[in-house]
Formats: sequence, structure tokens, C-alpha cells
Amino acid sequence: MHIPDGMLSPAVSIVTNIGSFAIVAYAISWVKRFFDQRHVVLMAVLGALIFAFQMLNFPVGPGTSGHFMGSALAGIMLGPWPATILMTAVLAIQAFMLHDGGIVALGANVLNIAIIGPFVGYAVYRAVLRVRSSRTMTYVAGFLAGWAATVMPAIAAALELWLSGRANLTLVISAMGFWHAVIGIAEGVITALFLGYLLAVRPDLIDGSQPAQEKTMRTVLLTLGVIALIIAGLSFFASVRPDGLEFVWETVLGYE
Amino acid sequence: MTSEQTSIAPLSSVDPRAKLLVTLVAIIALTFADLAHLGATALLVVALAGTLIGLVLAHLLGVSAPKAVLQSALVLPFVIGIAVFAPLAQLSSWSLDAIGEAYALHWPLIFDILIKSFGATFLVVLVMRSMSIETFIHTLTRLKVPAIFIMLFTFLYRFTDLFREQIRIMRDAARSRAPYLHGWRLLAFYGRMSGNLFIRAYERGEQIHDAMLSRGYDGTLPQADKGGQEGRTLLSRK
Repeated sequence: MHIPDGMLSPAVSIVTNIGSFAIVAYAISWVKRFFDQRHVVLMAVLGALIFAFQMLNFPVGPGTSGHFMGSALAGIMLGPWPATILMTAVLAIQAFMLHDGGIVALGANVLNIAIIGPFVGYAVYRAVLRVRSSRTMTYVAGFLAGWAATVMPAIAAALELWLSGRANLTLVISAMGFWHAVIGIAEGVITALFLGYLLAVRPDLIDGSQPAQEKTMRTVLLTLGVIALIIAGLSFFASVRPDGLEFVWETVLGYE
Repeated sequence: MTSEQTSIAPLSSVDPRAKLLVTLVAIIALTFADLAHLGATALLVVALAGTLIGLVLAHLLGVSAPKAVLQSALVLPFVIGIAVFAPLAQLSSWSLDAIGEAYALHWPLIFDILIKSFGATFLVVLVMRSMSIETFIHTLTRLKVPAIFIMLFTFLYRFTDLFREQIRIMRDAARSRAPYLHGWRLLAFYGRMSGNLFIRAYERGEQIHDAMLSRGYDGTLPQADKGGQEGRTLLSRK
């Protein structure tokens, strides 16, 4: 899912970098306001753990394997804003040290994996538990959060490739969506069992690690709004290309 | 660093900040260039010129070019998967004629993606192989990257191997007890192991923070070299 350099158009690269930079800057200010030093050190150690978790490869098909991503887990355990910073740091290290994901494409990868992933995972987890809070529902919430936090970033990446004129929308959504829906099952299972283990051994870590919950839920909506604006911005840039929204607008929808 | 001779290379004295910034500018220039409208000859010239520049840069930085090429090639499987289907992005309808026309007109798009992706990765590989991880993190500090990221990078660098080793030990232990663990049982094992490691990491994080406080931690990590450099010395450390 890590988009390498050269895959995105300049317009998509610029918009995703600016949008991600703004959201990460806000996340830093949020962490400075609500996290003390102890939380930050803890966050850093957990970042190393999530980074190490990403070596957990599991087979998803003939000759194909996926690995644990950790966006939903970070979002649930730390809250979405700290998770955004954590996953951004992980992505930056992967881009520079492991060459997994591009440098110019870092903004797009941050948007997909460090912003959409944790926020979707956190929102799904909270929404399911709001319906009914029980041990079983924690498993269900963890599974759905892990699955959604894998599939949604993949769809966002597919849309960015399409807006860049690099891929056919049908093909790229089908391919990315299908494989990540399969990978998402494994991510969901690991996330659910992880949360189940914590509930059994240290339930205080799940409930006690998210400061300012109510404020966070408001900011979740705010961030999703910002993401929608970024996508709208991408569409604006893409519309000047004959292979982007203009093509769909005119040929598929029949407008001129 | 590996066996590469980065310390005696012609560009070894260049400030790492300059290396990173020049690499960033080069990657932006490469990825924003419009190669998709070039003809076959022009694309060949670009590829050959890029190869030559890459080899010269590798020599000047003291980096092994074959190793850098191999490392950069890791990006190709995913890129090729997207690139070979890229002309279909220009498809007007799903028919054999339309597909043939899309490939006939837009085949340079394939090479546009391949050249940019491989070239950009090669540049990052070159610059990162020319400096140690410690130098890289220190350089980011000097480039005024926010302190929280420096702390995260430092901890990722310091503790990832530790956790990887713990994961490996736990996985080996599980394999010795249940050598044919796969499918649902493997995922269940991963889930419980993740929870176990999380608690270990959490408790280790608390211990680390206590240890840092006892050594006078004030929110910033100590640097081996805090000496600043003037703007005029940006291009040379000597």
C-alpha cells in the first residue's frame, strides 16, 4: 500500500503533502497540549513495537503475503491524534531507511496510513462499542476497526493513483480493494485478539490510555471533514486532466 | 555503514543536510518531470543519462553501485504491477480495439512510472547508504524537524531490533511447540503475542521514562554533537 515516488501526479503530490502537513502539525499541537512527557515516551516505545509488528507476514494468496499495519491498533490504544504522529514517524523511517514508500509520495502515504487508518479504526471501534459495550463486542469492534483501517487506506491509495492518471479506476479499486479486504481480515483478527488479551490481562490500558475522549470525537469529525476537503482539492486538480474526473463527468455521467 | 568506502569518497565531506536537501530537490525534479510524452529515443536517452549520473553519484559518495541497484530494485514488483496497466487509465471503453489503442498511444506512461520510481528510490538509497542512521537522525535535528519526531525516530531505531528479537524468540518457541501452526491458529497466536508484547512494551516504556528522569531528562534527547554550524559551512564540515 506504500505508494513509491513516480506514481502520483504533481498536483496530487502537492495537495496530499500540504494537507497531511497541516493535519500532522495540528496533531503535534494536540499531543503537546494533552500528553505529558511520560505519555510521549510511552508512545515512542509503542511506535518501536508497532514497527516490529510489521515484520509479521501472513499468507493472503498464492505467492502473496501481507503484513500487520497497526494503524487501527495505534488509533485505539493511543487515540487518533497521537497515532497520526506515530504512524507518520513509522512511514518516514520506512521511506528513508527501508525505501518502502516514496519521499514525494510521503504526504499521500501519511494521509492514507497515518491519518485515514487510525481515524477510521478509532471511529469504527468507538461506534461499535457505543451500540453495546461488552467483552464480545470488544472483539467485534477490534476486528471491524482493523479491517476498515486496512481497506479504507487502500481505497484512498487507489483513488490517488486514479486521480494521478496512473490507473484505471475500476481495475485499481478492484485489485486494491480485494486484496486489502483479504489482508484486512488478518489485521482485524490480530487486532481483536490483541484487545481481547489486554482485556483479560490489563483492561486499564484500553480504557486509561485515551485522554480527552469527548474532545477527540469532535476532532475526529473535524479531521474527516478536512480529509474530505483534501479529496475535493485533489478532484479539482485532477479535473484538468482528460483521464481524471472530467472524463468520468463527461463520459460516464453524461454531463458536459 | 557497510563495507562501502564512504569516509574516503570525494563527497564524504559534504554536510549531510546538503546531501538530504539536494536529494529531495532531485527527487522532486525527477518525479515532476513529464516523461510520458517523450518518444522512444528520448526515453532511451533519459534512461541512459540517468544510469550514467547514478553511477557517477555512487562513485562520488563511495557507495557500491550494484548493491544500491539491487536495493532499489525492491520497489519494482509493486511498480511494475501498476505500470503495465497504466495505459488502461486512458481507456475510453472496454473493447479490444480501445485497449490496443490505449497501449499504442500511451505506452511511454509505463516507462515514465518505471524510470521515476526506480530513479527516486535509487537516489534515496544512495544518500542513505552514504551516512549512518545516527548521522541521519542528527541531521534531521539540525534541519529543525519537530522534537517529537526526533524522539520517535530515536526510539524506533533503538528499540525496534529489541522487539523484533522478542517476536522472533516467541515465534520460534511457538514453532517448536506447534510446528504446523498456520491459518486461524497462526493469526490467533499473533494476536495474543501482540497483546503480550504490548504490555511488555508499556511496562518497559515506564521503566525507560523513570530511568530517563533519573538522568536529568528535560524533554529533549541528548545529542553527541550540539555544536551549531554557520550557514557558510553548510557545504563542508571541514
